[in-house]
Amino acid sequence: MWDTVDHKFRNWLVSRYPVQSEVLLTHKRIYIFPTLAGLAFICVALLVLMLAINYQNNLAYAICFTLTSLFITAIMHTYANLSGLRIRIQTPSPVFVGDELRYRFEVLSSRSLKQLQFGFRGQEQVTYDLERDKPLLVYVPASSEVRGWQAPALLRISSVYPLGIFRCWTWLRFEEPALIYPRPVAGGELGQLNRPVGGDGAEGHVGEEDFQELKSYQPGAPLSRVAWKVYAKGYGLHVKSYQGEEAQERWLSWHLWPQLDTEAKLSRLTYWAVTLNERQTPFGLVLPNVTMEPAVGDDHLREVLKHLALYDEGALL
Amino acid sequence: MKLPTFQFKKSTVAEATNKPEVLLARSSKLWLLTMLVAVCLPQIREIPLWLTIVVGALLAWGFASTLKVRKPLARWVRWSVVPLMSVGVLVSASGLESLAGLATLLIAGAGLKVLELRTRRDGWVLVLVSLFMVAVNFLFDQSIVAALYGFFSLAITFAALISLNEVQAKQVNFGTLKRSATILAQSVPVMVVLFLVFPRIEPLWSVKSERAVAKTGLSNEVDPGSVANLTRNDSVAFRASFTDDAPPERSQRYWRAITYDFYDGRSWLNVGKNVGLEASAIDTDTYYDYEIIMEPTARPWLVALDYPQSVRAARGTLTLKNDFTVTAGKPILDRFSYSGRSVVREATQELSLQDRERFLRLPPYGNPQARALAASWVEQQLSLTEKIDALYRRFNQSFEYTLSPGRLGRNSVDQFLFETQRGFCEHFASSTAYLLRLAGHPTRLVGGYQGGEWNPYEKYMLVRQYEAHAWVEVWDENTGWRRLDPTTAVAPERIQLPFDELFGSSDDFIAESPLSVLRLGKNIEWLNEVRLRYEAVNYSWHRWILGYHNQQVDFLHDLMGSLSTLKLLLVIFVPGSLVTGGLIWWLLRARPRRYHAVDADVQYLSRLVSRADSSLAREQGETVRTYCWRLAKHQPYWEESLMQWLNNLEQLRYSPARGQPEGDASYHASFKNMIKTVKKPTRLLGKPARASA
Repeated sequence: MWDTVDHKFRNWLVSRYPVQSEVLLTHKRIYIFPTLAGLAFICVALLVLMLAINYQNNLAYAICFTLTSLFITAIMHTYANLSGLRIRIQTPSPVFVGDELRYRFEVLSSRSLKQLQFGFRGQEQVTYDLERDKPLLVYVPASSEVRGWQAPALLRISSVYPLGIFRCWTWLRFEEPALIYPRPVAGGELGQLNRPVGGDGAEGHVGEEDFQELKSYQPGAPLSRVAWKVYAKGYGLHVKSYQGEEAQERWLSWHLWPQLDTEAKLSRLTYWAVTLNERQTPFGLVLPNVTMEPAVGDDHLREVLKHLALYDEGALL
Repeated sequence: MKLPTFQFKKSTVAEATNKPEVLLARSSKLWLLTMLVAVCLPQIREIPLWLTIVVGALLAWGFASTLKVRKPLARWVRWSVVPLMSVGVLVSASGLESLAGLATLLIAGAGLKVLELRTRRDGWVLVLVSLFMVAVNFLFDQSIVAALYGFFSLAITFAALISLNEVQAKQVNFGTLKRSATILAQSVPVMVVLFLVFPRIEPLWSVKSERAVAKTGLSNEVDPGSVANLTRNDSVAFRASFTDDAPPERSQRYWRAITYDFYDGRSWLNVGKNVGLEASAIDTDTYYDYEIIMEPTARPWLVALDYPQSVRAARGTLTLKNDFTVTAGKPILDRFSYSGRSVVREATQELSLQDRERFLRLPPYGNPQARALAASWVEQQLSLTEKIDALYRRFNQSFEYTLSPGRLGRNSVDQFLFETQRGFCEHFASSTAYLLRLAGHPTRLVGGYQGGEWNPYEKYMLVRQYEAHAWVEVWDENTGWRRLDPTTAVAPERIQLPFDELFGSSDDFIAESPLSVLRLGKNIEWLNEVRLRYEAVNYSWHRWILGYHNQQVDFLHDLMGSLSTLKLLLVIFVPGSLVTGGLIWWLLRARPRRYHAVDADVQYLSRLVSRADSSLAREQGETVRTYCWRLAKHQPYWEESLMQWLNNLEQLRYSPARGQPEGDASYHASFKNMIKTVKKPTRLLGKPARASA
């Protein structure tokens, strides 16, 4: 029963606000309600009223009215601590399934706002203090359980500052999906990767790497391979290369492990893609719908991982 | 497993504070402890001593352990404090009055909570308890000082509340207190409106027992020494204000409270039933309209100026009885205000006396000498006036009016009249009434107050307990009940002078408060004036704030004419929405955009120089450099310091190596120097104050 109501309410909320990339919080979007502490506060005010009535004590009346009046003042102070917040979503960095996904938002306000809490439903909440006129990057964690594009859920921004007797909050909807790569799962043998699709060939000897030469740096080369000592001597940026690594190309093929199901295959391919890239071994990708020529570098890896993440995405829904 | 390039730098996430389980920060703990000290302090007088010591120790330990001076209390100590304290509270509270018991319970609870002050939820509980305690404090003390202190402790309480939600600072930040005071101040207007219009309801259940209010003032029994005892007490009996601010003369200020019709040989008692007085037409225009605020006495009778014609109270019904006393029907447990109308004269002008026997009855034996004296009067066939004259002459010859008359034995009238001849008003009144009864005249004793101090600043009369007085009324066929004050025969100055002037040097006078300002102040002119002004403020406080429930209906009526729900709602909502609107504007107002901290300094300079000459203000879009040049051209003397500052400022703003202005000593020195130069009066330098534009 409650779930249906909740679900309907959420749908209504979602439909209420157009998807935007930048939002300015005004009274149209801000909700406010007493917290549990606020309700207790009202109970105390009532107790004081009882005291005042029974003892005919005008100063106790004054305390009761001060509490009541302060309750109203608190509404405005709490509201002012959220109103006027500008929030813009930024492109989130991709993550692997199971890793912590963080959507990035840039927030800005012309007043300093304190103790702003950001979070998605059922996820960890993060709290930030915002100084006036100082843009701030806010990272809001979300779970990443399914590979593919993941649009942010309804974002809740809330605040109880300054008195904690009211909570004001807002629901925001953004359309800036994050890319979730499959979870890397180790498995399989390197030798299997040696052949191109369906072909046969000898096992390679990756791993027995000997330092071969220094090549001049090209953009995209991994930082771990940069010869920093050489650079420090003032000879410019160079990259160390090793014997044997360019000799063999590896193919990450969909057909390598026919016994695995789709997701397991993707996970294993992901693992090998990351591993090979770390070893600077050029690798290609063969999926039923796409084939990528062997290459190396983070851009190549990103492209490969994107294909893996989005493989047959329709089947996920 | 993560890719190095995909990792992000974690930004500065503030400590979350909006969950109840969050642990309290040090600053919050310090605020909470300060709050408890502030709230418990006024109740020290009410709670048992042991509790003060235990809670004081707990709070001191709390401070010490929060400030890391001492280690937290060992677990076994904490566990043993709880049952010990519970037992102690149970034992103490059962012996206390309900209010003191409540205070004891609250303070003990708060003290125990200090032991378990860990999470935000604990902080919340303490804040709520202390809010309630601020209100409870007002049940013990309602003075102006107590009220100011109460609102101060509210500010501290809300500062503690804000600190629970604030950025977790290590140090106690006084910005928190400022914010709390601001929020409180913003809540005042609506509070005032609510205070004015909220209907005052009769108590839902009776909370004050007669036992709880100390019986003060006149009792329903007068024996030798009982009135003199009251002179040891300088507390306020009542305050009276008069229409037209014209009080009767001092010698006519007889405030009547109670009559005594029965004499048992030693004491005069109030036993006879007095019925309500039938309204009589006032045949004179010398009446006084007055309003009285009576302090609680725990007795039902009220005072009225001799002789009252009518009385009225906003709350409750008053009865004017046929002995011209006023009763509220129930004990006065709270400050009570009412109004009356009296005709000042010396006799009631009644025509007939009912129940004559009652006012002649005496014990059949005792006091032989007094009996003989009365018998001699009857034998000589003296008229009533002659008998009184004879008695007064006697008093005048050798009697002494004193606060310390000494004790009297069995035949107290004889002993007083023929042996000691020293007495206070009740001695004279009692023996006069006794003799007149013996001589066949119906008499009664009247207890009340004589005198009162007129406060010229607030125009009211203050009557204190030590002005209690007793006099006699005798039935005269021509005039009805007639007032006789035998004290005037022996000490006419008692009626003519303020009482404290008369007895100020006596040891027994206000012996209960030996350091009273009254004792010291009467001789020093300015001190006396200060006292009178203080009392005037106090009176307004009592009348308009503490006694507002008595004035509310009249006040609202004067303010708005006939009352209606619509009007009341308007009175609440119009100011309420004005305040709310103003507050919203204040909170959401756009502040001038500031790009760099030093921009504030430029704004300050512009404001400073434009005060003298508005053309010197920095113009829209003018760079700081051109602005400084313009100023230097206007006042060449400024040039050096302006340029020095400008160079510093530009370095700060535009060279990243220089960093933030905070802590940049050379920048601040140049700014200070520049401001000092600009502030110097130009006239002294012999240069024109204004350049020709």
